[in-house]
This record gives sequence, C-alpha cells and structure tokens, in this order.
Amino acid sequence: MRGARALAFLAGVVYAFLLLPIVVVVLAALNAGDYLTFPPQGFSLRWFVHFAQDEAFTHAFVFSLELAALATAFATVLGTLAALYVARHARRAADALRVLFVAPLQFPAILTGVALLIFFYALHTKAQGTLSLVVGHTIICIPYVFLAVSVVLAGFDRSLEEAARGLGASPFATFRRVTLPIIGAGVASGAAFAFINSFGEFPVSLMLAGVGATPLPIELFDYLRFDFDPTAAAVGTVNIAMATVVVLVTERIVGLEVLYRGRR
Amino acid sequence: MSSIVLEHLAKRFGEVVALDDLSLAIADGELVAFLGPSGCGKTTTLRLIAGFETPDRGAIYFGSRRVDGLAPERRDVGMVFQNYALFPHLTVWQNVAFGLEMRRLERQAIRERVRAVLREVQLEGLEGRYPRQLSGGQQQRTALARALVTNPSVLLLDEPLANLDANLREEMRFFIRTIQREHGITAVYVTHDQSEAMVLADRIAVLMGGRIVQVDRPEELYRRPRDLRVASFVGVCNVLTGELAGRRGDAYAVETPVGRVFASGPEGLGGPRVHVILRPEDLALASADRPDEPSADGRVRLPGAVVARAYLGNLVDVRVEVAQGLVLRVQARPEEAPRAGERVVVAYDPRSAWCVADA
Repeated sequence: MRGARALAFLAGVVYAFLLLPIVVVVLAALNAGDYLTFPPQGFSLRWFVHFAQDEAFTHAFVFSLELAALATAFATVLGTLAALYVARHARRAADALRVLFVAPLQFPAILTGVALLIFFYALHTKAQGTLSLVVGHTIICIPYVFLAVSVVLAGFDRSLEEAARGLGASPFATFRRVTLPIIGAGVASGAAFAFINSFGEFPVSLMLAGVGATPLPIELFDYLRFDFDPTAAAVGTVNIAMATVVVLVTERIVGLEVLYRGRR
Repeated sequence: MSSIVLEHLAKRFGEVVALDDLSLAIADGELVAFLGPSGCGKTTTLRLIAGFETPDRGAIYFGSRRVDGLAPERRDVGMVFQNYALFPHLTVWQNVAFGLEMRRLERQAIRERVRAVLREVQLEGLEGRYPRQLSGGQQQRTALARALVTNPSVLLLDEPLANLDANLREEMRFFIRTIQREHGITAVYVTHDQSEAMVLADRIAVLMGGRIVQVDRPEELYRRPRDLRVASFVGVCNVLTGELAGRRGDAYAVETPVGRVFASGPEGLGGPRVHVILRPEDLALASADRPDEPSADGRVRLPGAVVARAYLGNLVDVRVEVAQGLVLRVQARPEEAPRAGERVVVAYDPRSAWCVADA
C-alpha cells in the first residue's frame, strides 16, 4: 500500500513537471495585461484576437498546416515502406537500416538543418523555401512513422498474408485488403506524431525557411525578438490545442495502445 | 478436385536440407496424412504444394496441370493453418467471403455460397462476430469454411487441431473427415499426432529427415512398419533385438537375450541383426506358477517379473522385466492385472509380432 501511494505521488510530481509549463503558457495567453507576465493580470481573449488578425501569423499558421500535411503524407508513405522492407526483406542489413531511418531522431535537429542547407546550396542557389522545407520535414518525420509501423509489424502474423494469397488474392490485393488494415493503426499513429512534430519543428525550419515560406514557430521567434506581448503565448496555446486534438482524434479512431502492445 | 503428384521434390534453407528427393502420388479424393517429428519436412512439403515456397528441384502436378511455377493465388488450393490465420479485422462472414470476392463472383452468388458453407460447418448465427470473439473450435470451423468455400482443387491442412483441447480435437477429426469425404476433395493433412493421422487418413506418409520412409494405409503402417523408426513413431512398441536364426513355417526365428522367439516379418528379411516389434495390446499375461495354456499353441512365452504398473482407467499399463534391463509394456485389464513384484509369463502369438531389419 505504501509503495503504491509513493508511486502515485511520484507520478503526480512527474505529471506536474510536464504539464505546468503548458498551464503557464495557457494562462499567460489569457492575460489581460500588455506583457508576458506570470501570474496573469486579469482575463482576456484579446491576444487570440490579435493573433487571428495578424496577417503574418495567419499566413504562417496556414503555411505550417500545409507543410505538416505534405511532410506527413510523404513521411507516412516512405516510413511505412521502409518499415516493411526492414522487417521483411533486409535480412543482414536490417540493423544498419534501422539505425539509418531513426537517425534524424537522434541527431541534434539543428545539425540536420545545417546539413540540409549545405546540401541544397550545393544543388542550386535557392536553397531556402517551400521545397526544401518539405524535404527537410519529411526526413525528420520519417522516424516516427518508421518506428510506429515497425512496432505493429513485429506482432504481425505473416500467415495472414499467405492465407490471403491462397484464397486467390494478388500480392497487391493482399496488401490492400489484409496487411494495410491490420497495420493501419500503427501507420495512423505514426502519421499523427509526424504531423505534430512537423507543425512544431523549429531548428530545421530555422535553417530552411525562406521568403514567403515561414512556418509558424519561425514567425513566432521573429515576433518575440521585437514584441514581448502575450500574442506569443496565444500562438503557443493554439499549438498545444492542435497537438492535443490530433492525439485525441488518433486515439479515438485507432487507439494509440498499438504503440506499446504491438497489435490491437 | 484433382490428384496431386509430387516428383523428386528437394528444398534447402541455407545449409539445412528440409526435403531430400520426395516423391508421392495422391489419388483424386484421397486424404493423405504427412506424419513425422518436427523438422522432418512435412510442413515444408505442404508449403511447396500451396506455393508459399518454391522447390529447388522437382515438380508438382494437380491432375495434369503443373503448378510448381505458379503463384499461390493461381493454384486454387484451400488451406487451413495451424493458428487458423483468420483475418482479425474481418467478421466470420467477411473471412469466408474473402476468397469468393477475390474470384470476383457476383454478390448474390457469394451470399448464397457463404451461407451454405457456414451452415455446413455449423456457424450460423455467428456471421457478424470477429475472430477474437470466437472459441477455438469456432475459429477452427471458420478457417475450414474459408478454405472450402471456393471449391478448391486440393485442401491443405497444417496441424489444424493442434491448438484445440483433447475432447474437441477428437470431435473435429471426424468432422473434418466427413466434410472431406462429402466434398470428395483431395487433401493433405500435416500432423505429428499419430492417432490423428490414423483416424483421418486413407494413407499415411511417414516423413523423417526430409524423406518419406513409408506410405501405407494406417493398419499396414501399424502392423507392418518398414523399420524401427516408423514402428516407434506410430504407437507404443516393445522391441526385442537379436540375430536372425532361420525360419519356422511362416515365422522367423530370432535369437534374443530372452531366448529364441518367433515373429512374422516381410519377405526376404535381411539379417543378421533384426528387431522384433511387439505391441502392448498383443501381449497377454499369465501367472508364472500356473501356465494355463497348452504350450503346443505356438505362442511365445517369456517369464519375468512385474516392475511397475500404472492404472489408466480402462486398462493397466504393466511393465514386466523379462531379462536384465529389458522391460516390456503390456496392457492388461484392471481386474486381471498382476501386482508389482509378481512373477508372470508374457505370451504372444508370433503372427502378431513383426520383424524389421536393423536400419
């Protein structure tokens, strides 16, 4: 009993540590005062209105959404294919490939950003911009999909595919009717994390953002250099809300427990 | 429906030889069981027939159609997997309909066919359930229905009853057998359970080390095994090893540690070392001080002492030491079984004993 209570207390402390900054940001966004201060001075939604009326912010917001959607789409396809290949055909190269596909997660993102910037400069002069951002974000999103799909594949029973083939399904029909529906939960949760990650990505965006191609975190960073008002907190709150919605929707549709149970 | 012919099949996995020159012809409508210990090549053979593996050498025919180069989906086989391999995201109905949908049948035809097969395997009312909501036996029948629904040329069963409890397993044996007969479908049944093979199969192919050691009807296999490995794999057997010492009438005489014994055997049995196989149910017990039968009946008598007995309900498994370190298992009726330590005589009819040459 005492052990259980101690554990509950410890869990509470950890949650508080994780969640308090979020609470602070949300409270700061609802601050009626003119500066980013804590505790807030009165309650107001004026900074959200300010955010919604600021063209630079709304542009950046929409751009970030589009960027995250594209990067997620590419990362989901590539990450899923990579996971399938590594799980099934890579044989001796499997370990090396696994490290390779997860590498963007382990490298400091700023290094990935710098490396990509140098790489794109070597290709052509217009290294910063939408195309570079999409490629960069795809690369840093792939690990999330790769890992989520790999987990589901580890518990996948290959005889299901054989059964389908035996029943007359072509390899493609087998993938579409059997494999994909079964690993779908892993693919979807990988995609959700990819989306959240792309939407909040800073270091890579910092290197690759260009004129007319500024994701929201970069726009926010620029803003904070000159104005220290609660609009920044409002933007942060919008970000938090987005991530929460994506996670909840994914959880609701497919159940994120696949990520630690391996299967539904 | 068609016959299956396997010609000189060979398959290696890296350094491991899974199959080494396996040939077998299975008649139209016949059920052949592949029986053998794990790693003997029985599952590999089944997977070659299904098309999940390709042979290194040899050919496979369904009727006159050569299939070993075809993809699994073009072979027209029905397969029941050991773990059933039911699609977890589909209902019973959808699982069974899958093969028909892949063949692009019309909706109405699919509906009728699925309904008929589900009735046949007694799964009516469970159409909307998902596999995880079914009992083991129901999953098994779903798998069977899914394999049969397309009217395949051949039915392949890979240890389909291994995951069921004992009672259900026995019931399902007869069920599978009945369905296979009714459909007249050629079937290959892989198992390591000899009693399952006996009940189900028209013929049993015993596989060992990637080769077929013997193919025969169950009775033949049990009564006239080719060698000691087959004998000890199908059923319990007692073995008396000795030297061939000539013939007496139909029987061979064998010189063993318990004296000269007699047994039937194949024509042209090679010596000198041979094994006499005695099934426990063919051995009779008599009290040592009361030899109640005339000795002129040709029966072989081996005196010994009971060293252990195990009560099995319908009978008693008696172990009799007939020579130093040589113990025979005898089945006795509970009311007749001697106690441990008692002196007894083990008697058998030479016609029920079988000699095999030393491998």
